[in-house]
Amino acid sequence: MIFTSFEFVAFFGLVLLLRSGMKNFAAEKWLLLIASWLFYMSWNPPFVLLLIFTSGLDFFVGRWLEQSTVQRTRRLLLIASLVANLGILAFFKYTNFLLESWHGLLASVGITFHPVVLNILLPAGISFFTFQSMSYTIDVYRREIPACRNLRDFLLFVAFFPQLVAGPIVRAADFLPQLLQRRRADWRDFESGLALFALGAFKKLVISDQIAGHVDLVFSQPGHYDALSLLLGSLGFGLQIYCDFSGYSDMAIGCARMMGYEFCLNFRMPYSSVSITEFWRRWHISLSTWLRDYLYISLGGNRRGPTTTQINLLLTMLLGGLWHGASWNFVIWGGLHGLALIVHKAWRSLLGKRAAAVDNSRLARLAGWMLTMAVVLVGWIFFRAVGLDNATTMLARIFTWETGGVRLLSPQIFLALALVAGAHLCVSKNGDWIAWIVERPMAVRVAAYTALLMGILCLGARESAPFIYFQF
Amino acid sequence: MSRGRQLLVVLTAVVVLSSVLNHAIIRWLDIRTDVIDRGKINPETAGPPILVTGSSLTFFGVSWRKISASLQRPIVTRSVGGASPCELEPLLREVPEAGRLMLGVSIFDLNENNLSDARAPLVPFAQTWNDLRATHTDWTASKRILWMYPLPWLQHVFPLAGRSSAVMVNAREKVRALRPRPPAAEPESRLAFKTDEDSGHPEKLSDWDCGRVARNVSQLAASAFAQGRFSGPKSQALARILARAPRTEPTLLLVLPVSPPYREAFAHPAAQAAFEQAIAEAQSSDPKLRVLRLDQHPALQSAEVFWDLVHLNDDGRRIATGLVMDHLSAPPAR
Repeated sequence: MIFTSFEFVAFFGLVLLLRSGMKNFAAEKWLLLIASWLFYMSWNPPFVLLLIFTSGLDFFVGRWLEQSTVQRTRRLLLIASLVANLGILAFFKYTNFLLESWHGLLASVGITFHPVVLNILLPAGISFFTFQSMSYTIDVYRREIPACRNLRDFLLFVAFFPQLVAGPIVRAADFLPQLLQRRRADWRDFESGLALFALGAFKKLVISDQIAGHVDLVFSQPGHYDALSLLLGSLGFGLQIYCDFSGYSDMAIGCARMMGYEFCLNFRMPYSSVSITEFWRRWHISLSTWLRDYLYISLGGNRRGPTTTQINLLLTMLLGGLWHGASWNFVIWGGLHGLALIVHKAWRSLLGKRAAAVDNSRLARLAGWMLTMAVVLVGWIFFRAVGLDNATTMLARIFTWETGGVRLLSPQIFLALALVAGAHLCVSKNGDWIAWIVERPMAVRVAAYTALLMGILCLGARESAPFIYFQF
Repeated sequence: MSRGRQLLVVLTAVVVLSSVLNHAIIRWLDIRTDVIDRGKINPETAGPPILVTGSSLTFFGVSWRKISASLQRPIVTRSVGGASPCELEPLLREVPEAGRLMLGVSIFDLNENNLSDARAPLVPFAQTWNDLRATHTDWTASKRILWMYPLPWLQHVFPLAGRSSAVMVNAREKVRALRPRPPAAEPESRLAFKTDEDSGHPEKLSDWDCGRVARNVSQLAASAFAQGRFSGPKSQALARILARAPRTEPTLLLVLPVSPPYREAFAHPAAQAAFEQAIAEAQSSDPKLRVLRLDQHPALQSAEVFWDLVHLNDDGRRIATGLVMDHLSAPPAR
């Protein structure tokens, strides 16, 4: 059940309708919980048990953590929770990858055998709900939040359907307090949620889905296409993944807002970043802050000198890459971003007091933007390519500007580029377009919403593909 | 005005304005919303008419005017773009006086994953539901079909809903028409056909550059064509059509060819075997059924005779029409 389907619109409409007629707050939360489980079961029904198990486990671990005063017990409880969560994640997501890597390693020293390949289905959104649940346990362990006292509320925090399958990764500290008292969206919030949902649908249907075919084609056989087609293909993927994922996040935030709940922002014009550090403050914010708070800081952060800081940074990004999927391509993608972050940090410390002056220079900002986009684009090639061979073929053909091969130019890519570039140029980097528009006079709002709806109707894909981040 | 009322006014205005714009654009771009094409060829000639039905492939591929002239029989046509037996089945009831049925099918339109936009307006929901249950179609595929049914309702208000391809193709044609030079032949442009006319399509798929072929293949691949399935509501409808066909003369099942790039991309051995199975089942259901395998004829295997990935061009039609005429004039095989 994807957000851009009639099925979801009917489901969400029914949930809103039933919820609005409920007088009892507890019953309302049960409704949301059951609806969330049904939503999850529309992907693969048995996996709902896994969702209930992981969240149930963390609920009880959290309670125990709060009650226990013995540091050793607390540490053991935390380790048990992390092992259970990461073990489940590793089993479903990384078993075949680890087996294949092990086989490859042994083969490199001359030991060959038939590798075992297990037919393991990946539960939808497992990386998201595992991280969400883990963050709660760590927060309770750190005594940053009190343990949740109500199992239903905790199950709802993990399973709440707008963010269940592809985030944003909501923190317990942000969401659990919202379950303590009855919430209803006022009309302003409802309008803003609806507008955000429509904006997300526009990004998904008009941009992401329309260029998916071109991108798939180029990445499936990069050796067949000339450099320009490959460059446009990788640029297309950069646009596709941004519109697909930020579109999903917008719709998730919009749905929650229409019900009176608030999620954190997940994207803030990432392609306007003038440095890789800024890029990670704007791209998949809920994951980058998760990695910062629970991995980078746990590793020691920047408290143990520059070399350890750099190692921590690289390690965080490598693991962040691996979080996306079980493939060396994701590890390289994470490593590339980690290295870029290290270089940027080193450059900033080299500049010292001149950094502020450089930040204000238009030329330096342009150079920074170009460099950042180059790193991001090369990163996307590793992220999207099927296997390392395809990624290196693609890069080699682009960098040697290979003119032989099929030229594949698609008008949709140019349209997508114009739309995304236009949005990045016209909307302030830190501005909230939706918050701005709901405060305008009615005529402006009618014009803006009509344009959005007409865009979806005239240019939107007939059938929507699943969101890219569902596979993670 | 309260915020709630404001929102009500805004949403009402957006719906009304968008609806008006939708209707205006659909008229301006000349996008067809009537899904059925009905025609009559040589109605003045004697004898019970032959009913010819199929998707656009059937009418691009064969000149039914020539067939009618050669047989000296009236032909009544019924077609829907992208149609399969599911959508054609209700149309057959419109011609009870038909003496013979000629039905065009192909590996393209019998693929259960290839859904026609006309399914929801033409096939009753109960029929679809029963077919899905009878064929044990999996839940994902069933959902995809069942959720097509709200679209026609939405299209009453927003006729552009689900028609973005037509918007883009027709808008491109409008822009092209504004240019001073004559528009270049673009085979991938508007797929217009009349079942009772021989419209000219001389362009050749073999003239397309590789990028264009790849782009068109990828567009089809995005619609889940790659997993060809040939057992489901379409095969059920085909069996029903053949069972209800006029008994006075044998039914002709015309199996139309698809282009080499299409075969390479989608007619992989498993899909081809499943398709053959579907044809064999149809054949075994009616011993009098005559099957003409245009898709296996050597002269129709080259990209030279195709207009796009699935439609024959004028050369292809000439060959296919000759083959149909030969087949009809030959005595039935014993």
